[in-house]
Amino acid sequence: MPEMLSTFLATYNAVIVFVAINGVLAYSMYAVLIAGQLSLAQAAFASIAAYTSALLTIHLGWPLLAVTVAGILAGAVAAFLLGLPVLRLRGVFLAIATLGFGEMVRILVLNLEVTGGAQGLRGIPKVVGIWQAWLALAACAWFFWRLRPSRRGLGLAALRQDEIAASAMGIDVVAYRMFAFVVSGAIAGLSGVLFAHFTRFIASDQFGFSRAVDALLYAIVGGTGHWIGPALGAALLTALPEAQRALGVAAGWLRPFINGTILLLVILFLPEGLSGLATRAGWLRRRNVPVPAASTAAGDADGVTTDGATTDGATEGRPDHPNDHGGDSRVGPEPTGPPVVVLEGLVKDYGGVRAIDDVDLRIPAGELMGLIGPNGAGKTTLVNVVTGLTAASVGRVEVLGTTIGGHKAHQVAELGVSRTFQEVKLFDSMSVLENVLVGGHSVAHDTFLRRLFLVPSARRDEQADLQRARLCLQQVGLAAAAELPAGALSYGDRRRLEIARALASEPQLLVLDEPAAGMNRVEASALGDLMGEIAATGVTILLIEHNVPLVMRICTQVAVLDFGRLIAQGEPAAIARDPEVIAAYLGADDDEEVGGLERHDAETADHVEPAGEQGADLLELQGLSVSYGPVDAVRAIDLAVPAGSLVALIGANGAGKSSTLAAISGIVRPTGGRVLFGGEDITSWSSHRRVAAGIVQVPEGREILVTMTVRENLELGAWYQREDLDARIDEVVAKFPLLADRMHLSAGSLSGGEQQMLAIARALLAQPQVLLLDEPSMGLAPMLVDEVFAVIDGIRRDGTTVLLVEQNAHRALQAADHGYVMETGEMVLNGPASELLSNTRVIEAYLGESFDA
Amino acid sequence: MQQVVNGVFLGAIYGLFAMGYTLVFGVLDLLNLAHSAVFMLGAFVGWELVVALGWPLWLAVVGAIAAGALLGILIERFAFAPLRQRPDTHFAGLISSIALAIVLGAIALGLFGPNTRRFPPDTFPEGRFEFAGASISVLQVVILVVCLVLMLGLQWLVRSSRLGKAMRAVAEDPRAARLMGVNVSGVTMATFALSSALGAAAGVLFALAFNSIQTEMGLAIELKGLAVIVVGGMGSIRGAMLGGLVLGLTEVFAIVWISSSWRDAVAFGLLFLILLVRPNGLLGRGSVREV
Repeated sequence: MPEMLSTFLATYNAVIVFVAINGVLAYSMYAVLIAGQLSLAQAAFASIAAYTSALLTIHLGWPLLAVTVAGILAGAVAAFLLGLPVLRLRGVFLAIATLGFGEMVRILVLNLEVTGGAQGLRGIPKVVGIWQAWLALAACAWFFWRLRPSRRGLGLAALRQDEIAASAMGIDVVAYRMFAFVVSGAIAGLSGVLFAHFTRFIASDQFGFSRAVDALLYAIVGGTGHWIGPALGAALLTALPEAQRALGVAAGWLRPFINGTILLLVILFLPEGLSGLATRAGWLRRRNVPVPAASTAAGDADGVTTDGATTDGATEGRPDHPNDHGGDSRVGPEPTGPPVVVLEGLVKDYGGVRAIDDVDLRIPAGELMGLIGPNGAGKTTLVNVVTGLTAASVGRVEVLGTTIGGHKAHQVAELGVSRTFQEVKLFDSMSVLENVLVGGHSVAHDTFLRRLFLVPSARRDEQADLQRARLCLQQVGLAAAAELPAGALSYGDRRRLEIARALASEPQLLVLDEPAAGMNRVEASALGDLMGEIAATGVTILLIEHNVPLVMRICTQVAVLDFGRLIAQGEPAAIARDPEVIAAYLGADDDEEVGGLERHDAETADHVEPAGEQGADLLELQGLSVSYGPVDAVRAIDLAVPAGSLVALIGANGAGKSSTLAAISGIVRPTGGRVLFGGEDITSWSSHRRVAAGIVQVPEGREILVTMTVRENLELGAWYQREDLDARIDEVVAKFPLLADRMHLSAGSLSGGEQQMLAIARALLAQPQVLLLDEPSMGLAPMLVDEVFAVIDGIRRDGTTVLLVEQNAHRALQAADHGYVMETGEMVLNGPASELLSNTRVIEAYLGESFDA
Repeated sequence: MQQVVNGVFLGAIYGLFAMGYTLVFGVLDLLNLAHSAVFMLGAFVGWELVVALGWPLWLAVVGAIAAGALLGILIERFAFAPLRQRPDTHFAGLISSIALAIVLGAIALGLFGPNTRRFPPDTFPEGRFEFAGASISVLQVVILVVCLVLMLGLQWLVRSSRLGKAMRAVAEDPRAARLMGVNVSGVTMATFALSSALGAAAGVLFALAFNSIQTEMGLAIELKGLAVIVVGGMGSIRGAMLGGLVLGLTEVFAIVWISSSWRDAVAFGLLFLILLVRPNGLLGRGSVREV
């Protein structure tokens, strides 16, 4: 047996050593990939280290250990110096900049005297063998194995998935990116030292572009989801030529052909590489942080939180943490202390659009402050300013006693602010528990170095962090799901996990951006209870929510934004009666005094639209369902649009209206049901075929092509109807005089109202049979809303069938023949528009049943 | 003056090659690293058509361009289309196009062998003439003209044609383009075909200019092409032309003023500097896609 082994080692000595050398290089690529960076400077770092160590050996006679340290340092220093300027680049740009650096190093080496120039450097003593090389490989694997479950490793994984969410958790993105880059340089340096002292000869072209690509290929084929990946990838790709030789595959074209084909197959069919395959097959354990044994009662398995868990979560975490670095500033807030947030004269402009206009707002400590307002009112922008994601244009922002100006998001998080996002930003490929651990970043222990050397105290600290994370999960009722990947959760659970993640940092201010969006009544109500419980522990909460009844029920204070201005602030009951608030939500028409909803009855009595010459159903939906992964956006709805009619589809934000239109246009594939057009089933038609047939949409947010001229936008609208184009453009533009003298301006220079007109004009040029209008009045001032509705009325009088989706229910129903009302993906009501106008159920769908005017 | 002429000449070929790169990046936000393989195969196809089939040179160039377009469609089908639904399309596409480049390189090695090929001496006219103190060959003039025609043609196509408008619409907002009836997968395929046609044209012209064809010829120009599109601005066609010119002139003058062995270091040093000072390149638009 030993003879066989030694024969094997002797025969394949070079291959075995190269598996390790290439594996080490693969780990250097892995180090940046796990932080979401693509760098091609690895070969250059290896080259710098190889020459440094070789020269030290040759000229100064340093021993292997000393030159290894020198080489690693050389690689790390080179990476640090390169990282200073290039790490602000992202994606492909970082790759190309590092590639440029690599070429510069290669040519430098080629032209220097000391490196032997084109002849290369010879006579390096061969002091690296199988054991040294494999020891180095094992050290790298050890490093990443120990790194992943530590605070630092989780932070890198979070950074890779979502930089914005990671910085909101308190992760210093710049420092973490630099850490990964320097580690990568050091490991590349190690591989360079091994290479030089094994092959005994180095030349500049051994460290060129193709070597950098090799490193990338090893890492990708091995997979970046598991620390064993780089070693697997390097082993496969290094041994492959040898295996082919053994199998008698001729050298020449066939070997690279097979290599390339295998690589292509891996990329196309194994997105997580070999290690991903091994994990799925059960040969490897998924490298998640193990869930700790429950130290508290086990009665948390499912269902909504119990009160007991809540109080535990708030009180128990703290005493366990003697080293809690936030400890001084994080003493439990007084119920009524100084204001947590102070905004004075806040203005935020986005390239000419004023998202927030002169807002003054104070949030006293201990309040549960609701922030409501129609779509596009500036709520999320306000929250982004408060949490440091964007800077204010003008005005003063003070958060927890610190004036925010030039603070990065992670610094604001360190103050004791945490948040959730309107569009859930979880770290999907990490486990539920790991998400919460990342959320606790600013209060967790940095145990990485202690883990690396197996210092026992690391384990105790980690257990404390794990327990706290576990309590946060219990608090939102997700403890049973701790080990699942976050991406596998249902929609409501994802929202809850975001809250648990935000709670993990024991914040003083918790900002929740539409946590109940897309939830049904029961889920939303449970969520409301949860928020009440959190507030009861003394945390100040700023809640943005479209579900107004929920806000009215749980909040102690409510602020209302409309067109970037604060139009009301006060107790929920007063806000619910505020006429300006009601008008902002339901829309009011010109001749009507901005007043109560109860007037609709009288008002609509004399408002009877002529039904027009309505024919058979031109467009019909039968049991249509749309899902996005775990989210059911539309649930088996029926809808009919008779030819020549104007049908309004209304409902609150997130009710599924836009998804319905997207399914009609063929932008999303329905998960169930059929779309009929003129009696024909078009469910399987492509989107362009539907446009050609006359199903034309004016999308939400207009989606004008701002880099093109107005005329080019119109021409694109006429993609299928090109005959008499000039005449028809003139004809359409005649209806939109505003556009006439702007034809050759870039569409981006138009105002919001003009852009909406252009979007409609563009759709008309496609000669629609049925025109789908998605929120045409959104973000427009009242006068412009009138103009838009006048245009819609005109289109309809011209005989075009219209399906109108609107948040402004009042105006939409006034214009329509028939109305449909959606709520959380379901069709809850339909009938003649005039009847719906007076139906209190419609108001409920918007403001909820608990609302009474 | 001679150096300026040489620089412009070199820059034109770089520019032509880089335009293909930048077209795919600009319209589809994808970096196709198999572009250099198309460049190399274009040169071989041109040679085969002239030498083995006896086609006239101009027809061979047209044939190489057509072969390039076909290759582009293959690349899109095999390396990019299967990844379209994946969240990491950009990154995975980068790798899959490297893999396909390796496969195409291997096929070329199998078909054409490892030896350098040269066009027979009578393939193109040999005349030279003097212009403002510089000596220019007729071939150089022809190549320069062809480059210019193709560049301006592409510029016209993207600015004014129906396909070009569809490309720009897809580049700016694929969803809006679909809602207007643009067949996005058709446009994607056309973009790849066009891009690779230009890459193959650059390959065959490069082969004529330096009269040398081998399977490795794509590697060097791949890096140059990346440098050109970054210098000019990712996704900008005029930027690619300008970047090619800048790089061509820089290389030529680096040889004159410094030394030929430092030529590429100067070129990549320039690339590096421009990336740091103007991450969007000389003519690059600011990033449209914001978080």
